[in-house]
Order: sequence, then structure tokens, then C-alpha cells
Amino acid sequence: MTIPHPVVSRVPIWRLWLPLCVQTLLILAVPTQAIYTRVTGKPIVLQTAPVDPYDLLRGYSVTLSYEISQVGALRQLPGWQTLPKFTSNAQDLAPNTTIYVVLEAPTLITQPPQPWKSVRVSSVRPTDLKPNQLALRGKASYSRVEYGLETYYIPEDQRVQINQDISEVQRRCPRQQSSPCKPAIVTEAKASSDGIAFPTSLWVEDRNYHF
Amino acid sequence: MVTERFRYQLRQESLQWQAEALISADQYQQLSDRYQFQTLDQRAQNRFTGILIGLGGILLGLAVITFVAANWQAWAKEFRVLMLFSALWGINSLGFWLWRQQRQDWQQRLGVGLLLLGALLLGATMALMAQMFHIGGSAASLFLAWGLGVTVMAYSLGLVPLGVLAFLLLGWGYWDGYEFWRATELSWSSILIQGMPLFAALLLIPLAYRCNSRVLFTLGAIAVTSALYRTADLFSGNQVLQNMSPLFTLAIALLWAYSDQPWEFLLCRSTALPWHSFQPIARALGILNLGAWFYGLSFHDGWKNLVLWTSPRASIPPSLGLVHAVIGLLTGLAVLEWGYWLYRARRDPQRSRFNLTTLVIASGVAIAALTCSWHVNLAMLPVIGPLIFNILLFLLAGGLIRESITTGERNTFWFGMILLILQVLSRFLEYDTDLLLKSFAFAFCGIGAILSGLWFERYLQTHASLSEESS
Repeated sequence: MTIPHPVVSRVPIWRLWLPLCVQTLLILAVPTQAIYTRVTGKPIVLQTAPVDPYDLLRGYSVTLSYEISQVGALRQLPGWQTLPKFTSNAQDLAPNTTIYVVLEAPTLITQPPQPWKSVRVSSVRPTDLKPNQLALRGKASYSRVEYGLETYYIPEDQRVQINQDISEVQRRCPRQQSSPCKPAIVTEAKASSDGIAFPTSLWVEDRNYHF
Repeated sequence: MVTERFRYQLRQESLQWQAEALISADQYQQLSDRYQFQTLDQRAQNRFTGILIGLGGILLGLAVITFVAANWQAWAKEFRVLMLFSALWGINSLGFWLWRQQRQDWQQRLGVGLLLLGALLLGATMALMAQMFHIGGSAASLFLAWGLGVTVMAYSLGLVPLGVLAFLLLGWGYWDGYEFWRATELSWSSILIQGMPLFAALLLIPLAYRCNSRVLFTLGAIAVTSALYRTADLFSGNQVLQNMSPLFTLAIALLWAYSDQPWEFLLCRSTALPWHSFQPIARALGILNLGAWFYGLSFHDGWKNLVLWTSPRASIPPSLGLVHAVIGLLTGLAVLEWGYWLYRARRDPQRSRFNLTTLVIASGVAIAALTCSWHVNLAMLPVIGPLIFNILLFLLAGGLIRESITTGERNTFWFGMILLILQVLSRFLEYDTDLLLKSFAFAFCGIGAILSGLWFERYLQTHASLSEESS
């Protein structure tokens, strides 16, 4: 039996624009939260952890990691015991667990800005936050936590510059301080009240790069 | 069907025949009219022009893509968004306009091609938007949202290629989104992924009816069953038998008793198209699943070490409410299907042969499910279990071959043969037998396959000629 051709001559025009409108809404839904958070969110500053300079450039993007991205940095914080652990290794977190890291603003306002300090962790959204505190939501898997702030797409010339700057700072780092060394790299972001953050700029010493 | 190559050769030959006075000029003219010799050159020219235009189009497209890539970062964000949207709307509108024209075949084809390009552009636009606003979401969510967007377009236009693309995208998102399988926090992606057996049925099966496409129905049924099997991993125990057997039973029950009639009742009146019945496809897939189940558990090792896969366990179990609800709904649907089948079987005694097949299949499934449940809950059956499954597999293969002889269907015959050969070879390889015996087994299976294949083909021929004579 041959498949009959559908009668296409009478296909009304709404059959195109209606699904196209749905598709347009889907596309617009992608950045809605990011735009909303950038306008209404609370600014935070994160200490950016040393990154492997060879791993920094991946195609068209820059990959960054934060101090609070390492589970090791969270183990000493209050609330660690309540987090769901990986069964075979209690040092690591269960895959795909949502955690909230409460950050506290520094008292000094400087330029470049001081990073916020992590004060406790929780598996549920904390409600009893002080005015100078904010809970950042992350997704933990084993020994790493991701906050959705890890990858940036920036123009090529800027990318090379950032890469050079970060490598420079990291190379100098061991001589400046005794361990643990904190290189002067911080990331500014805007975070919403439910803990989702979007990056706004990166500070490498006194140089500021806007995203 | 007369090919163009044949017409070329015929023109060449008939010119020679005319030159050798084998045929007259009149006869040549008749041949020329019949096989349209005069259009041969024209068509070749058209094709050449078509290839040139196509090649030029590809180069132009590459030029546009390279130009955009070169200037992408330099343009303002608003301009980039505007460009993406105009490309999406422009390509889809042009494709729709061309597809709507019924004058030329190539226009329709180009239209469908552009609509497919538009569907691909939807994903690219979503990815670029995420990139522009530094949103590091999961790739699975992107594929799922993209698949949903394409599904909407496929429904609206009733286009099979868009439906296939939607299936691929949703499937990609589903299998890539393992982080959502056991996610404790419900987001739209985790709801879609955990409820995928049901959502695949709701999204893809009606689409197959909308497009009147067997391909889409097959893909939809595969999506539903594979998503159903995937849920086995979520339950505690992680034992293949314990989790898979009820799911196999459910999938086979759903497929075997599948009926088009509710759909015909719902949809057929609104259109004049003759409808394909998808029931045979559902039954064939049901048999395929049955064969896979029986074959998989015919191995002795499968009963000794029941854990085939393990995944890292979290200290908190995944929330299974949604998965339970979905399996419950699908079980309810299977019960409805079988109730409807029983109702029809009583009213229509003429289908008694078919009813007998259904009873045989149902008892096979019941025996298999009972054996598995006995093994898991009451007492281990390390010897009887594989024995029962081997008998079931043998009966299934034999039944399929017998059925194919009655109906004269090649696919059924070969599926039965393949199951039988697989069973014989697997048993010989599984139990540590002598190399010489193994070579005999291979030879036996090879000769058996050749002889039975030849016999079946001859049987079909004699069957066909007998039925011609009698008519």
C-alpha cells in the first residue's frame, strides 16, 4: 500500500506561526532568569581557586573553579554532617545532591573587592539568613560542587589576556604567601534569593573583566 | 519502473537498430514517444543546474556561517539576538511557503529541508542564547527543550522528518540526562525524564497518528519500552530479574494487546485519509521483546549472578513517587487494553485462531513472570529457571516458524530461525563443550539455516502458485 501524500495545499498559515511562537517562547525562556537575576539579584564576590592554566582555555570558553567548588573546603563548615554522603566514602557527597553554601559579606569595601566568606552548609534552603548573608545553591557530585558559574564565553582577544594574567598571578602566588595560597583572583556575580547566581565580572589583581 | 539509464541505453540501441534497418523510422518514433527520448537531455540539464544551485547554496551558507562566526563577538548582544530570531523565522517561513506549494516535487522537498534546517536552528539559537548569558545548564535540558519545540512543529505540520528529529532529540536528552534520573529535587527536566515512559507515549504515539507514519509509531513504541526498562535501575535491589521481569511483562502486555480502534474513533472522522493500522507493528515489537527476554534469561550464568549492573547508591534513596505513578498508569492502560481485547474476543468468534495465539503468548509471559518471581521471592531456581526459559525460547521460535508457514511471512520465519540458531549456538558456547562438538554445532546451524531457508522459499512459491490456480 502506498502512503498517500498529505493534502498540503490547504495548510493554513497559523500552522506555521503558532509552533514558531512556542519555539520563540522556549528560546526566550533560556535567559529570562539570568536577566532577572542580573537586575534584581544581590551582588556577591567569590574567591576563585587556582586553576590549571593549561586547562583554562577550552575552545571558546574560560573555565574557572572556586574555593567553595572543592568539597574539602566545605568539610570544616557547620552543617557538613547533615549533607547526604556517598555510601562507600563518607568524605564525599552523594551524586547530584543539591547543597546550599551560606556566604557572608566582608566588612571592608575595597577595590578590587574582598571575597565573601563561607560560614555554613545545608541540604535545604536556609531561611534564617542575616542581612549580610546569602545562600548559594550548588550541585554536588563526589568531591566537586558546581554552581553554574564555571564557564564563560568571552571574546578571543580578552580570553588570551585573561589567560596570561591568571597564569602570571598563579606563578607569583607561592612566593607571596605561605600555604594555603590565595591568588588575587575573584569573581563578581549576582545571586537571586533562591541561590542561583550569574557572573558579572572577573578581577585578576586590579584588572577587571566584564562578562 | 523504467530507469533513466535504461532509457538512455534504449535510445542508443534503437538508433543503431534503425541504422541497421531492424526497425523502421516509424517504429523508432513509437519507441521514442513511449519512452520520452526527447526529455532525456532536458532532464540531465535540469539535474546539472540543480546540482550547481545546490553546490552554490552550500558555499553561500558556509560563507554566511563563517561571516557570522568572524563577527559574532564584535556585534552587540541585541543585534545577535535579533539575527538569530530573524534566521529562525525566515528559514521556517521560506520552508513552509515552499512546502505548501504543490506545483513541483523539488519545491516540496526543498521546503521540508528548510523546515528541518529551521528545527536545527532552534537548538543552535537556544545554545547561543545560553552562551551569551553565561548560563551553564546541562546539555540534557537543552536537548529536551529543543526536542519539545520540534515536537510542537511536527504536530502542527504533520511532517514525519520533524517527528523523527524530535524523537532523536528527546532520546538524546533522556539518555544523556542521567543526573536527573535520581534527582531528589523536581525540576521540569527531572519530571520529564523520570516520567519518560508516559511522556514518550503521550508525545510520540499521537504524533504517529497525526503523521500517519509507521516509522514514527515504531520509534514511539521503542521510546516507551526502552524508557520503561530504564526505570528498573531506580528500584532497590538492583537485581535484573526482580526489576526487569515485571517491566518486560508490562511492556509485552502493552504491545501485544495494542489496538488502533480508540484512535480511529477519535481521529478518523476528521480526515479522509486511509489509515494505517499500527497494531501489527506493536505486535511485532511485542514478540521482539519477548524473544529478547527469553533469550536473555536462557543463560545459566544469568541466574547465578543476578546483578548485571550496579550504580553508586546514595545514602538517601531517590524519590520514586513519579516513577511509581507512571508505571501504575501504564499498568492501568495495559489492563484496559486486555479488557477491551477480551470484550472483542467474545463478540467476534471468527478471530479464534488469533485468540489462540494471544492465549499462547499470554501463558508464556505468565510462566516466565511466575518463574522469575518464584526465584526472587520463594526459592532460588538455578537449574529449573534457565531450563524453563530455554523451553519457552524454543517454543517461541518453533511457534514463529509455524506461524510463518501459515501466513507466508518471511520476517516471522527468519526471526524464528534466528532465535533457534542463537539458542543452539549459545548453549553450545555457554557449556564448556569440546571444540570439535562446537564446530559440529556451527556446521549444523549453518546447514540448517540454508536448507530451511531454501525450503521456505520453495514452499512460498508453490503456495503462491497453488493459490493462483485455485483462484
